Amino acid sequence: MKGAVHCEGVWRFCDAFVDGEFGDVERAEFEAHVEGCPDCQAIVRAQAAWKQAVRASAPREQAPDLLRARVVALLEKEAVAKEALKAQLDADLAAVAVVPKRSFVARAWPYAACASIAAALLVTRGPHAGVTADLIAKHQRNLPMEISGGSDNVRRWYADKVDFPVRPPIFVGAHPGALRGGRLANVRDHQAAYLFYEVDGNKVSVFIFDAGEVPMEARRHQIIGNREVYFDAERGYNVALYRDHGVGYAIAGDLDQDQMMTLVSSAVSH
Amino acid sequence: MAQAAPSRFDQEALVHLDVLYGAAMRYTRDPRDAEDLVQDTMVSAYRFFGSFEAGSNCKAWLFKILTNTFINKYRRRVREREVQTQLVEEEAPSLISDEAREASRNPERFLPSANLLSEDVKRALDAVPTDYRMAVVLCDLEEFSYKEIADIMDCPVGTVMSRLHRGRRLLQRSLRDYAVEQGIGLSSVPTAAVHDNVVPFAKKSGS
Repeated sequence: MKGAVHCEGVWRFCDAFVDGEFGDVERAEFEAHVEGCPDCQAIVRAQAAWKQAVRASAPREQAPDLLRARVVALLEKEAVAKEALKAQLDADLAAVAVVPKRSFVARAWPYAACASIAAALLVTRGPHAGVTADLIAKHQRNLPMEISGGSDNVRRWYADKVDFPVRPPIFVGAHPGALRGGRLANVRDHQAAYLFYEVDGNKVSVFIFDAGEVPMEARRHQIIGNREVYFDAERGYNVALYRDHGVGYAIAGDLDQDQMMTLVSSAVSH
Repeated sequence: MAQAAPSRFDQEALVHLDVLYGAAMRYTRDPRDAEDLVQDTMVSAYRFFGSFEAGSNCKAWLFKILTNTFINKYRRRVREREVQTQLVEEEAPSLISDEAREASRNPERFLPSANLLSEDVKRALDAVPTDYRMAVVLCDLEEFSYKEIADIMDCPVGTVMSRLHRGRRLLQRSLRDYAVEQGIGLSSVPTAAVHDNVVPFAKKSGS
């Protein structure tokens, strides 16, 4: 008679054996027991037969032609929209560059300062506790707007109030966001522009700050497009942080992770 | 990069449309939801294609997006999940040892019938609770390794193993039940081979 514990092990790990997940040593031990134990042999044989039978009779689906056509059309649209947006932004940027505003200094210095600080941050990842909580607390609080209106209006309002360029991101794609307004705020005791967006009927908060002042770290870290994006979540709210031209951006909202990823991937600053 | 992406995307990602749709059908159990899920998956994949590492497993990467989208978007609609999970988890320990004991006593009864019908496998699979069903689909239909499944479902390998184990046992149980049901309908089944579960029918036909 084989020891009960050993047989129990076979029952428990029979799937892994049948699925070919064992290393050589485990496999040899398993086989040695099964060979001398008719009960276990029957079980292993039955499981192998089931796996084969299910796979052989598994329903095989073919994507409907209409779905295929729809997907291809959508992807083409995505590609065209991406190109058009890029051209539009290049044109906008060229137009902005011609206007000699006092903002040149305000815009230029953070780049230089942030470049070195950001480089240092990549190596010495400082403590980040509190950034996520701080952003979510502000997002939840329903603070009143100090300026309302579209991108140009908002941008002008911030020009003489903060020491970094405030370029409200545009969200393109499946979840277009509408900029409703903004106010001044602090993120971890550093000056920030707090923008209010409406995305799919939900309020989404966007914070813009000096990336050199606020360490950007979170539980998850992923490269999306050409950006390093940091994701975090707390109490059902998702937060995404990223840098763009030395300026830090944080998006907070009660969107799910998937929606947040889509939103971030469609964010364009200009 | 912008010009090169679509054709590379076609070659590497779009070729998996059929398998993605097949998995989406098993996940959602509804053709319309499956189409929406595949569509959302492909659009997300296209947008994130820049983050896909060339040369790595594109099918696994697409399945991760599909599974993630399904969990976040579609399964949220189905609120019975917790209840189902609880039920299955409660009966699971006895399920393992009782069925193993029974299988070793009576092995031929625990083998799959020789001609499993695709329609039956579909029906039985659709009845398995979502988490377990996803594990079975990824392992038995799509042949991903445990490690790949763990990455796709974003859970530890141990969780993959237990979901797979329970999912398969439930699937097998349903398929055995169907076989018994169908067996009753056939006059060729010898009375001696008929088990307890047939008694109610025997009484019914006698009265």
